[in-house]
Amino acid sequence: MDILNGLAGGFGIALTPTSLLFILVGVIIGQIVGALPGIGGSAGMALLLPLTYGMEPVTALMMLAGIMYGSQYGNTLSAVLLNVPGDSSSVMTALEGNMMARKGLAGKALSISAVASFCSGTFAVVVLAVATPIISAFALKFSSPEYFLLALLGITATATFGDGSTVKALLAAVFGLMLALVGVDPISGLTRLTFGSSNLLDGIDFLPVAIGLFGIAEILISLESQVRPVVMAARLRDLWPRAADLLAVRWSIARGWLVGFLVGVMPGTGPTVATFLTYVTERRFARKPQEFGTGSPEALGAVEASNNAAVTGAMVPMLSLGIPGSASTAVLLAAFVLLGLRPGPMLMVQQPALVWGLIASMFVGNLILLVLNLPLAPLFASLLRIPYVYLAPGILILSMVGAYATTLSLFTVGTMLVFGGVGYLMAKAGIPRAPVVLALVLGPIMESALRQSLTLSLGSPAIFVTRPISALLLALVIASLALPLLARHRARAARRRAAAGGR
Amino acid sequence: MTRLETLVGGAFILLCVVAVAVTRDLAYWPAGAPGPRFAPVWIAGLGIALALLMIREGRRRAVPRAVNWPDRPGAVRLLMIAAALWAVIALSPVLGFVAAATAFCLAYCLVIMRCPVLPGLLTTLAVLVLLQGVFVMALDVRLPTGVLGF
Repeated sequence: MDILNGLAGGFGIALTPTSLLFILVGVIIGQIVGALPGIGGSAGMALLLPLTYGMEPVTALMMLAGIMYGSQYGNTLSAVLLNVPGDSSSVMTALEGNMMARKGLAGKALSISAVASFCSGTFAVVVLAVATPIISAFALKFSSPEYFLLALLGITATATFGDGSTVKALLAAVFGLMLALVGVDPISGLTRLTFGSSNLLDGIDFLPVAIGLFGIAEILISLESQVRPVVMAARLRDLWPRAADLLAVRWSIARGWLVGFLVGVMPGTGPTVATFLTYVTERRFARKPQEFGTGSPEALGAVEASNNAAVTGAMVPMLSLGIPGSASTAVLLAAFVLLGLRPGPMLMVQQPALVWGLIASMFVGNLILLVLNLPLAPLFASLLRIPYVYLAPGILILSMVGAYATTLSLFTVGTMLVFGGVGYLMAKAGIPRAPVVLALVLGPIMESALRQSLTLSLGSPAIFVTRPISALLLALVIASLALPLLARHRARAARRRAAAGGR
Repeated sequence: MTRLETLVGGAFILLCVVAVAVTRDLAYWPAGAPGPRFAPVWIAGLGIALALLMIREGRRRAVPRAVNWPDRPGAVRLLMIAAALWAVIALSPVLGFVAAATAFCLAYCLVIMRCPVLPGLLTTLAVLVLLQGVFVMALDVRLPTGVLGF
C-alpha cells in the first residue's frame, strides 16, 4: 500500500508540465547521444550534468535518468542501421539487428526493439519500485564495515565480470582509487598527493575524468579514420509493429528481461554482461536457434529487453544502497552528490517524494520513448547521415564547456583533456575505462568506511568477519574475484584437453 | 601488444612509487587507527602487483594482442586536434573562450580535416550559435572573456 501511495505521489510530480518537459528533453538527448557513435549515455550524462545546476533536484535527476535509459533506445538505431554499436551493450543488437536490416527488415527490427525495450523498461521500473524500499529498509542495518565491503564488491564485480582481462580491469579500478586519494584526507583534513597545487586541493573532480575517458577518448578514436558508414533505410510504414511479430518474440522478451534485470541489480555488472548472458541463454530456449547470427528476431527481442532491464536494474543498488552498478549510474550518483543529496538507505526516508518522482518519471519516459521510436525513428536515423567529422567539433567544444562549468576553471578543462589522452591509451591497451570512474566515485566512501571500521575495531580486521552481513559481503567479494578466474582456468583446461584429444 | 602493456604497466608502477614517496610525511597508523597514508600505501602496493601481473600476462601471450593504431595521416590528424584543443585553453584568457573556440572550429574544419569551405563555415557557425545562444545567453555560463570583451 505504501508503495502504491508513494508511486501515486511520484506520478503527481512526474506529470507536472515542467517535469514532463525535462523528461522529454532527457529522453530525446539520450536517444541522440545513444544513436551517435562515439558518445554513449554515460558521456552524454556527464556532459550535460553541469547544465542542471540551479534546477530543482528532482527535475534534474528525471532529465539525467531520461538520458541514461533513452540512450539504450538510441544505441539500437546505430546498431541496426549502421552496424555500429553505440556502446558495448549493443554489440548483440548490431549482430542480429543489422543482419535483419540487410534482409530488408530494418523496420521490423526497429519496431521489435522499441516494443521489447518499452515492455522490459516498464516492467523493470515496476520491480524497481517494489525492490527499492525493501532493500533500503534492510540496508538501514548497515554500518561502516558493510559499506566498505559493498563498495568493494561494486568495484571487484565491475572488474571481474566485464569482458577482457581481469588484471587490466582491476588495474583500472586501482587507478581510479589512486585518483580518489588526491586532495584533502576525509578524516584528518591533511592534504595528500596535491603536489603543492591549490587546484588539486578539492581532489580530482569526477566530471572531467568521465568526460575525458568516455567522451574525448571516443571522439579521438572515431576521428582516426574518415570512413563514412552506410546507413540502412527504414521506411515509416514498416515501423508499425505487427501483432504476429510481437507474439513470436514474447517469451524471448520475458527471458531477456529476467536475465537483464537480475544481472543489472548485481553491483558492477551492467547491461553489457547482461546482453551477452542473455544471448547465450536465449540460444538454448529459442524456437529457432539456427537463426542466431543471421538476423534472429528472437535474439534481437531478448537482448533489447535485457539491456533496458539491466539499466533500470542498476538503479536498485544505486538508490537503495548508494552503490552504482555501472558507469551511467556512477554519473547519476555524482549528480545526486552535486545536487546535495546522498543516495543510500536514508534517501528513501529523507526524500521519498524525490525517489518516487524519479521512479514515476521512468514510466513516463519509457512511454515517450516508445512513441518517439515507432513513428519518428527515420527522423533520428537521419542524424546518422550527418558525417561525424561535422559533429565532432561541436561535441568537443560542448565537452570543454561542460568541464569548465563544473568549477569555472580552465584547469578542469585541462584535466579533462589529460584524461581524454589517458582514455585513448587505455582503449588501445585494452584496459576498460568504466572501473576507473566507478572507483573514483566509490573511493572516498570506501576509504572513510574502512578507516571508521578499523577505528571501531581498534585496528582488528576481524570486524569484517564477525558481523553476519559483513561476512556474507566478504564472501561475495571473494567469490566475485575467484569465480571468473576459476571459469577461465576451466576453459583453458578444456581447450588443452581438446587440443590433446585432437592430436 | 606486449610493448604497450609494458609501457603502461611501467608508467603505473612509477605512479605508485611516486604516490608512496610523496606521502612519506603523513602518518600511516597514528593512535591505533589508520591514518592518511594508510590508503595510499595499500593502493600503491596493489597497483604495483597488478601492473607486474599485466606485464607478465602480456609477455606470456603466445600471439601478441593486435593494437589498432591509426595510420600516419590519422596520427597526424589526432595530434593536431589535441594541440588545437590545448591551444583553446591557452588562448581563452587572452582571446576569450568563444573566440578561441571559433578559431578551433575553423582550424579543425578547414586545416586539419580539410572539409569543403562552406560546410566548414556552417559547422563553425552552428557551434558558435550553440555556445553563445545556449550556454552564454540561456544558461548564463560565465565563460572566460578576453581582450575582445567576449
